[in-house]
Amino acid sequence: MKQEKRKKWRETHITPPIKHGSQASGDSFLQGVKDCVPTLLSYWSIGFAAGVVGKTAGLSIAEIALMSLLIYAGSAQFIFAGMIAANGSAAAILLTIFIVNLRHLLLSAALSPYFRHLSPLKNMFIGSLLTDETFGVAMNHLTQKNPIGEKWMFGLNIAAYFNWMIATLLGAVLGQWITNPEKFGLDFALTAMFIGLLVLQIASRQKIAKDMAVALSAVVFVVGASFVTSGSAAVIAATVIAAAIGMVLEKWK
Amino acid sequence: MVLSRMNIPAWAMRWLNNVPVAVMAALVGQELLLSDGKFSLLEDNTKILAALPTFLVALFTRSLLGTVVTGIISMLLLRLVYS
Repeated sequence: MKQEKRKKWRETHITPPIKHGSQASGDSFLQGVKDCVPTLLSYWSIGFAAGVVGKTAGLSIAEIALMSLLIYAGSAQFIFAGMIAANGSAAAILLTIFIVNLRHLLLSAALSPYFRHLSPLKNMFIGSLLTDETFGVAMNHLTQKNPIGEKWMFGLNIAAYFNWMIATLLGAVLGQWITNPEKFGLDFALTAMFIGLLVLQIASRQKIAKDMAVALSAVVFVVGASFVTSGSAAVIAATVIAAAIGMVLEKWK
Repeated sequence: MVLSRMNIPAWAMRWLNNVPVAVMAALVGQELLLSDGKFSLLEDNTKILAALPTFLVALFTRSLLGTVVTGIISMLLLRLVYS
């Protein structure tokens, strides 16, 4: 029974050839680094902004560096800074970050078939360094029928990680000189990023009508739930319900 | 890591697939419409006004950086005008 399920799953997914440790010229660590270059600009800019926002929210440079090192997720770092500035509770911060980063789970899941042959430890390294951008580059490569090997992925990931660290540090250093963040509208940076991510996600998926329905219901529910419970709980409740609505809509189409 | 070895039921995959859009929309809704956890559309609408150009830039340029910068600048200008 399980065999049939697996076969069916494989047939519905394209599986380009997977390199098993050999290093063709298009597949090496350095090539991975090179392929990361187009996305570096976005890392630099968002990283820099994250550093500035973090600093103006009151975090020390050491704390910002630690966040970039350990958390390594732009959206999480922005959320952290924003909620600290608004004196959010620790539990609320953790919960919100967790939900937003849930999408990382999905990205990892999408890439995992191509790395299934590796040990769990290697998969963990690949997964923990995954970002929206590296995911985009990897997917792009796959759709052009290029195989992706683990060394290439490491090159990609490490280049991204390194640049992110430097960018946030620079931003934090610069942020020291900005004393009144609200004056510069910097407190809106987090919201702007959410808006950007929302639009980008809907735009890159094929099912715009359904996504709009999901988005709309999420907004309706978040407002409705806020009458009954706290803001963060409202976000979670709205997400669960709206995602469920999307799930049902997909089944009916 | 875990998922690569699990077989997830179809309905759960569909639900997971919708979570990114749902959570982003919920967060945007919360940021724009709620303040201190309550519906506050009528009091402070600078955020919504700043959100309009931000949305447009996101839609047309597909650039995250452009979106964030637009948002910041819009907020900056709105605050200047209001005060």
